[in-house]
Amino acid sequence: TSSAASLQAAPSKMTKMKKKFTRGEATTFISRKQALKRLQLSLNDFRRLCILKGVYPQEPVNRRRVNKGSSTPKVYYHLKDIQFLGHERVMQKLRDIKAHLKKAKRAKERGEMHTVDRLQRNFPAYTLDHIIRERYPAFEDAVRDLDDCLCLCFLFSRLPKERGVPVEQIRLSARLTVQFLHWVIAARALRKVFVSIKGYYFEADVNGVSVVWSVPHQLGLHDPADVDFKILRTFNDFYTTMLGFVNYRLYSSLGLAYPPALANEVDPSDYCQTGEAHEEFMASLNQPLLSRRGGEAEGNPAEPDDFPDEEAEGAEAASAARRKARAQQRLFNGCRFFLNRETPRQILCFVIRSCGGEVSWSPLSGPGSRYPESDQRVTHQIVDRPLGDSRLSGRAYVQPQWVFDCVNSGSLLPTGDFAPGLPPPPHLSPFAAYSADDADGGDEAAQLPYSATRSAPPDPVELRRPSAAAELEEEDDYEAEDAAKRETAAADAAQVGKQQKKQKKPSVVAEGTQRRTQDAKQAAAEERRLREMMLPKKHKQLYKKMVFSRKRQARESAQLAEKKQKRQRTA
Amino acid sequence: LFQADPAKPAAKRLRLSRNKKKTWRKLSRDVDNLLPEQTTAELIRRRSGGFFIDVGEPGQRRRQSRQQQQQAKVEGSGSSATSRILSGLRCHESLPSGAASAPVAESKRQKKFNSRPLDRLVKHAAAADQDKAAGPQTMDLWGSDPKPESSADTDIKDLVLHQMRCTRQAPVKRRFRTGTSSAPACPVPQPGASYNPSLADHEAMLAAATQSELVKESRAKRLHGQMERHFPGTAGAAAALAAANDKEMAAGLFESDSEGEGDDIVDKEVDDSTPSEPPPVAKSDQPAGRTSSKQNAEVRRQRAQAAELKRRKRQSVDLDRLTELSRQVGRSLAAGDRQRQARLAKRRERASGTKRLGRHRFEEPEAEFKLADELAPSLRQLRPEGDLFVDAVKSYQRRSMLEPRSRTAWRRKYPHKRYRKKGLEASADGEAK
Repeated sequence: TSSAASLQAAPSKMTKMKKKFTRGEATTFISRKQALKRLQLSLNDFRRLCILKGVYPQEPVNRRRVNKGSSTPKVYYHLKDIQFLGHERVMQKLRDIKAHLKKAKRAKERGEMHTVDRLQRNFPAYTLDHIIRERYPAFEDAVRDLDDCLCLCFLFSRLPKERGVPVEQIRLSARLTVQFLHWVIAARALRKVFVSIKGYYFEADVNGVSVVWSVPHQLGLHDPADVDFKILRTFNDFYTTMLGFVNYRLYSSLGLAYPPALANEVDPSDYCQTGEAHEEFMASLNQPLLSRRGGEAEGNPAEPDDFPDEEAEGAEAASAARRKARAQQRLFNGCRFFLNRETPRQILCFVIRSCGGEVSWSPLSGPGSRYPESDQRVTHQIVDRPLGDSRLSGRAYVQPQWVFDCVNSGSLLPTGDFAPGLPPPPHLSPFAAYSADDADGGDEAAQLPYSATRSAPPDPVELRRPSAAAELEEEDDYEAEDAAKRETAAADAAQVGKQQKKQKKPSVVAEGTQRRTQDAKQAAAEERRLREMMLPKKHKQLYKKMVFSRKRQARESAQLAEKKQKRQRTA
Repeated sequence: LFQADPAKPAAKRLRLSRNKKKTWRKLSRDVDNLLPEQTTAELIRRRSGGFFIDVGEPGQRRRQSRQQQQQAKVEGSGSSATSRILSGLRCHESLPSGAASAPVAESKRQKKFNSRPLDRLVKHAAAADQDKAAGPQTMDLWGSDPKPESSADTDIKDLVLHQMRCTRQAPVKRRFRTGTSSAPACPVPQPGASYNPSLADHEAMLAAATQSELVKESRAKRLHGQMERHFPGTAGAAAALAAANDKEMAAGLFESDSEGEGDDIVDKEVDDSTPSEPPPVAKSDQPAGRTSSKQNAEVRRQRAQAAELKRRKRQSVDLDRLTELSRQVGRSLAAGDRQRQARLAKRRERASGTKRLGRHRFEEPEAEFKLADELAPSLRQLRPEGDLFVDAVKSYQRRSMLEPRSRTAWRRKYPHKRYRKKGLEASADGEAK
């Protein structure tokens, strides 16, 4: 009775029933299907819009709550993002395009070709400038996203026409990337180069931000089956627009005219029509650009300021980096290069000019050649095939890797190591942090060039590999051509190895301590065995496997160390 | 609502229906110039609550003062068409000063009207202006040309300061849609992937590749083992099927097969007459019926007593073990702390790592490598591995910008049906006959 009375007494204090899925995550996320329905867009158009606006799918913490109890995998977006998309001008344009295509299809089916022509002429176009302004309110934000932009633009610039991508888009990407490379050359902003089996990786310093991008090898493109080119084209649309604006800003910061113009008159008669001359000669990367005030752009850019009073921790590293950057900027000052036909011309021209050098090539290779091969002032000639006796005096013949390694190290390396026909030293990655030990030459077997392993007498272990026989055969070819040079190079490497040999410290241990350590070791071993016996059965197998693999690894490392010692002794 | 200007003579109010074109033609001759201004003027007056800003003569638009430009900005009329229309308004001049020009309190109906979008004319003009700019109006998107700090910027700063003074809070930062993933946009391959790697780098890369292959193998092996355990014989189902197929196809080919056939076919006779006995039921120690409440109470009392004794004993022991206990507490607190740190780290990793979007999980692509005998002796002879397009797509997926998708083969939802038209059937039959 008392309970009934209490119930009657306070009915207003009873709260409403809380309905599930009306608050919290269930209301902040929206599935893709719902978003499509809300925005009234097709899936392709929705994807395009999301890519342009930078709206990405999200992962809710609890999928069940969002999906009202079910856990089917769906793609979710923030509801606010979709609402934000709804205000976009471009969405109306996408709908206009859809309507336009419908009309064109109808006209085509009916055979009204004049209508089709008219519709094609008046195809609705949209601009993305406002989107870029919205996504990157400051220039620094755009520079932070420049990695993606450059990678994709370089990829698209190398596409063949048959890939289904419109030719105009490919040409635009090519133009913009060439403009960017010109800026890097003018600003001497290149800091790292890495030649990998996938492609070339560059790092440049754009307004203090490190920008890394990749360029595919000349003959590298495969036909990727699982790449959706529609999506990549949308990304490329956005990035080409962005790169245009970024280029303008970069060019104006150096006082160069944008759109870029060539400072000197060029004669395209041998190579292309007059209409394409500008594009072709720009792509050669060997022409100076016009500055804003007219006249050729000045040579060296302003050097970075030195602020000595910084915090002690980062100061040394920062100043070292600045010194290296300055060294890189004037690395090839005064050097004149000549590139042979078999070398990657555009890449080498870019790298050499970014460090202050001058380049030329045979006029038969392409436009942009500035001096012939016979020019007396040429200091280095880049070759990539075994040379005969036809060598000119007064210049060093080097492989392309010399250029890249010089840039990475910040100094001119000895050209003898990179002579043509000779296996060059290893091309180390400037992006990887090699430890100080390696730099001192402590771990020598590790940093020994791969070629040196070939020049050393083959180990019986190595000979068992079928590839080793092939390597020996290759060696014979090279030996026939440049026997003396190879030997000297090997001798040099060996000498260097001897000089950097680590001194082994003699271990001096007193007898008493030795015995004590032995007892301690025995006790530890006993303890370990006891603990092993105490392991539960199901863990024993796993433990055995771990011990076995560890022992095997230890054995392998001991073998490697033995090999190293052997080599040191023979060298 | 149209207030007559005392200076001008009152215009005759034409009482004509506005349905037909003829009547409109008559109207337009007289009030041709006045009508559009009136309607827009009315709208503006209603929307602004009776206040106007004089933006000068239409022709003076280009020589707008800095103040007027600012006001135009404040108004939000960014495009030239709207400003052109609004600047041509001189309606406020015809209003007599005094009560008529005083602000009128907005009624509910007015508020509803004002909240509707502007006149379609103005809206279209604005849209047309924006669309007309086919190329970028200026390449200078971020204002690289150095210019002095405009008064617009100072105005914004003043507003912000004012907001801070009133609310005593910093203004909420505008959050842009930046990716939260910490993965680099262009991941550089490992040092061993150089076209001419050093021995150690190359071996490290091969070791990593071997490791991933071993992991794959172990996974496949574990799956195989699990299948065998739960469904014996099916793990090698394909091979078994092939063997069975071969056996079947080869049956009777060799004479030795037919000899032992008769002996094998022996049907074991199954005796179905008597049903098999069920297994004996295990007797439990508990009594069949319910235990009496007295017994329960006794058991409960005993248990409570034992628990009490135990607790007292433990207390006394604990007093002796205080230091040990304090150390235990410290350890458990430290463990709890470590767990908390691990949880926070996991949460951070989850936030910055690849999100699980959609049906498929993101799979890290296998690193490309070249075996020792495939290494190129020179850059010219290098055969590239891998595809940078795939790299780009994977990079977007890793940063949760795209969700992983898999190609599905196009399958017909409903199979093709073949049928023959009625007319054709009849004719065919006729022909056959």
